[in-house]
Amino acid sequence: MNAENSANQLERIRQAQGIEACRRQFLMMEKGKPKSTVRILNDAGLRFATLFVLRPDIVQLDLFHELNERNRIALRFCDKVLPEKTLADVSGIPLAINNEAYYASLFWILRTGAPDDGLSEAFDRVLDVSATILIKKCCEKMVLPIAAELIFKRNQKGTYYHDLVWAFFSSRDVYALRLIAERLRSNNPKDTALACQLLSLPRDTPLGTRMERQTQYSRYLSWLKENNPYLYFTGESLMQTNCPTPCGVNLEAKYLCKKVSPRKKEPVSALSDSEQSCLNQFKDTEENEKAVLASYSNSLHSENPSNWNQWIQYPIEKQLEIAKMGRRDFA
Amino acid sequence: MIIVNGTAVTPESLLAEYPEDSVEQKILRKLAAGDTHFSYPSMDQLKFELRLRKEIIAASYELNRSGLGFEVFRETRCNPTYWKRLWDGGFALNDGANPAAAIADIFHNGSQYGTECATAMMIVYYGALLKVYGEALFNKTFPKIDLMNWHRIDRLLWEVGNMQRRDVYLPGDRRYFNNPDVNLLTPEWQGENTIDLGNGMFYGHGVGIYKAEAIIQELNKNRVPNADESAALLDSAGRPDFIKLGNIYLRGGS
Repeated sequence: MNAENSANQLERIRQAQGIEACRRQFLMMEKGKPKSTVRILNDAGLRFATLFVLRPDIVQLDLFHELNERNRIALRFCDKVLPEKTLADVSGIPLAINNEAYYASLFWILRTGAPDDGLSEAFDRVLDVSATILIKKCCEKMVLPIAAELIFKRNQKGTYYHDLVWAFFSSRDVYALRLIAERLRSNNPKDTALACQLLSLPRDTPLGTRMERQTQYSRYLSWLKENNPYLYFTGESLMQTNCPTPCGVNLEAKYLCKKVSPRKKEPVSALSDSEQSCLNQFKDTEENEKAVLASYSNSLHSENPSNWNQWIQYPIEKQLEIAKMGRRDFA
Repeated sequence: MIIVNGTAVTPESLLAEYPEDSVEQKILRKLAAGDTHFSYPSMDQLKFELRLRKEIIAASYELNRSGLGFEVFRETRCNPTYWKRLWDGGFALNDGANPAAAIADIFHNGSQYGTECATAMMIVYYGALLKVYGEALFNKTFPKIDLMNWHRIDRLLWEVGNMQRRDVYLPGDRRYFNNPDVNLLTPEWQGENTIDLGNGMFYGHGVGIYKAEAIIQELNKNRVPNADESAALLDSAGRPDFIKLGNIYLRGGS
């Protein structure tokens, strides 16, 4: 049996009978069989929530140094994040950050802590900060589905999720957008409303029926596919505005079919003289014309690069005329 | 350029109605300068905006002096006589509580409250509207109040939460200082919501009243080690729909 799936006694009691029962059992076990109690704490099947609620008892019984590395890091991390410093009097090496064990422990906190979200404000804060560090510092992709799940769960419960949304989009990863888009298909109106807001879709987007939700989801994915190379993340947050736009499309880059950096908005490679000259013409067009040109350019480039090479060299007026008619063959 | 009822007006006659170097005069000069059109259906509407902006600034100074504590949303606190703390850290007006008295209580008993900068901005706007509308009209207009940030916001104040790029920034605008390289352990420093006080100073709850440079400096102190991006004042502002709020005032709530 996988150690993580083994029935951990303390885990079972906390989940079935609550925190106080778990603490009582822990103290009783520690009196009788101290070694096996520490083994249970260090067991792979222990969830972060159980370690978290036993923090005062672990310190009181002077067990900190008997814990494994995962648990020691987790408890030091809690001390760093929370105002109350449980380990202030515990000697030992301070938390070493930015190493593999640190990130592994943070991922354990988040992965096994997420099902117990809402345990307390302090617990939720530890989850948020661990998610933020994993997303922003280690660009850990596996964190995003867990964070998305937490965001929507908290939205349904009415608890605080804005910092988590901020961390989530700071991944600057298109995968984050896909995960939110998934929720457009949810049967729960709270999920679809939040997904709409986070994807910056119009508030009146029709999502009433299953078919409408599926249509909006497919439409969003198509949009994402078309614009993926030209997307940049804005960094706008829910703390800043009620209509955050997580990402935008660099139309100039789309027109030139140049991939952009999601963080800096600028094309990843420098523009050639001819590209710069095309861009100068493009910049003088109206906003709605820019969108038409960029969309046509991107589509033609992927279908027929040789025709695109010809089209991009035409004067901008002719480019626009062809784009508006949607012609593919203009030789 | 100021347009009233379709006609361009010069600010001279209006300027004389306000004390020298007053907030209203400063706003009028900004509205009149440049090519941007600021249109009002009537002179009363223009005067309402001037009054409300002045009260937004006054409320900012008052809230800064109130002793209102700074707390992250997870640890907010409020006076239970008037408010119920919600699970997301916001406050909801108690059933049967007097809205005007509840808002005034935050200004008078600030130390009983603790919250983040976004909620403080909403308190400033409600405080200013209370001054302009008076208790009766305020209570009639806002029988239910939720204080959090821009996501549980009264429809009459929705525009305060909606940041837009503006040609001209005016005293009383809500501005945002962004801190992209914030220390990950303290996400509450990811940015600072502020009110532009019109004299080069900004009010941000938790920071205080300072020039933009000082607020940026404070945010920069709370960045990750080796951060490469400075905090900055964003080129956008939130401002209430003064015409909508003015219509309520001018109709006297009828």
